[in-house]
Amino acid sequence: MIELYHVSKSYARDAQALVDINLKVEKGEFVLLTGASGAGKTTLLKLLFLALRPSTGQILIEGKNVTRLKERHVPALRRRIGVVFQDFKLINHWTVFQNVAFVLELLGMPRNEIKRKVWMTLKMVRLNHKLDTYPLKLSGGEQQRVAIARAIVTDPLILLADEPTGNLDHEITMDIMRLFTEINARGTTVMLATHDRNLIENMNRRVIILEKGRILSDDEDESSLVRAGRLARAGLGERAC
Amino acid sequence: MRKAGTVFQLAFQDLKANFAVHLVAAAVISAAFLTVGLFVLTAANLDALTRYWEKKIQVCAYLDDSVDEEKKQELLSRLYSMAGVESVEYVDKDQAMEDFKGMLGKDADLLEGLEENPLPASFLIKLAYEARDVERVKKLSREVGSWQGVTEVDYGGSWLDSFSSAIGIARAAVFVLGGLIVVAVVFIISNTIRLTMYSRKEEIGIMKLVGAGNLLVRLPFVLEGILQGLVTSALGVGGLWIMYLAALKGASWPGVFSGFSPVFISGTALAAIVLGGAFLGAMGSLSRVSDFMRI
Repeated sequence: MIELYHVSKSYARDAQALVDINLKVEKGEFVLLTGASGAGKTTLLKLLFLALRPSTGQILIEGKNVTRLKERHVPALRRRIGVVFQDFKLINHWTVFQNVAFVLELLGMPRNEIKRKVWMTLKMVRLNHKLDTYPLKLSGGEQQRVAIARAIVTDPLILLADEPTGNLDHEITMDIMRLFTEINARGTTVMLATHDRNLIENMNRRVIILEKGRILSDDEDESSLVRAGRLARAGLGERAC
Repeated sequence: MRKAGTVFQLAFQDLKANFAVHLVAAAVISAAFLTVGLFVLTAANLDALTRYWEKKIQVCAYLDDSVDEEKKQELLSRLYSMAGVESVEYVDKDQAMEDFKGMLGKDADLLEGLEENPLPASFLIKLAYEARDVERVKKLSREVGSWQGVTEVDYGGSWLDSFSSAIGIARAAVFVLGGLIVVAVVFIISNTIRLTMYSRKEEIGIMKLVGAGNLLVRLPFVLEGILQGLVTSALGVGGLWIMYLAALKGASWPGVFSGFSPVFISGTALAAIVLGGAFLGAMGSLSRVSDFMRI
């Protein structure tokens, strides 16, 4: 589903955000991406939805090399990848319905079908009673659920989430994570970046640890003791909550 | 690809959400269009005034006292043979005196002490409408003035010449200042749109992140720009119309202006301002939205 071969990304003044990343994520996998601030988590996700282009290396999504994908084809790819951000990125003067419906309108779906699909998706995130509410009238957890609804309403192949629970308390975090697990169970490949060690240990999923732009470890089967050591080395020694 | 209806919906949603920003922008741009309109109106009225005075031109050829009936008939036939002459009225010395007395009114008794009539007989030459322009009148006056028996030809020429020169300078000034104002309007519109774009920078970014193509993001903004250009230019022209009506109502035109009816901007100029507004709005939006497209 997602393949990266020798991917590096450098910004100005030779600052290397990612160095020689080799990675393969299978269809339907749930991958946690972790590491200290500046380890390269966000850069890696941005490369996957083409907000950034790699300096070197190749990225394949569904077997298709997207590294040199022409600018005009980027929107079509983004419509097949759901993205959830820490700061929700909702349009505040649009209602919950309008925010979620927008991506379906991009696909040219008929109005009635849009209404049905948006309602079903909002029901899944338990916000179907807030269709006409504006985002700023919602709590942080609710806003994130709207963002998740927007990301999954198109039944994307891949769901990318960049610190989706970074601004939320523990109880809401668990609620959001249950949602991601449910989405994954339906067949969507999920790649979630977090520096919340507690979350990583609770999820019991494949964990990729990044350190200074390099993959420090990528092992779903390693023992919790080994993983704890690696997390500590990656600067995640203390539990986030 | 999205339907046109959704583009309209997006444009409308944004106008509604950023109503205050758009209102302020509309007021500023309307004022700019009003200023452009004022310059166009001034230019149009200077032209109309020139034409008005030109059309009032009459040529008066004063005759020598020695001109007898035979000479008078000869001069008359020569005048009628000239191109552009519509009619000629002969005013004899007695008639000239009567007219003069009429002009003096109650002061006419001042003339009673005169032993003989000093006023010359004259031909009042009325020109065909299309012949009433300064250059043709000058030419005709020069020719008639050279005839034997004609002492002097007057067409109110000297002041009309000066006025024509003044109008020429004023018209040039209007075009230069008007041009500067148009440049200023483009600058104001462009920056006002940039200001509104800043408030929507994040929105554009989000739309692109969830898969909206460049055209789809641009179109609602361009539509808004066109709408803003149309509405503000129409408001500017509307304001100008109100000012024009108020000026007509309150004004009393003195002396040489009496009888002149100020004109409003021609239909073509009105259409040019309104359509120009729409064009400037579209271009302003298009150029500014591009600044925020790189996501």
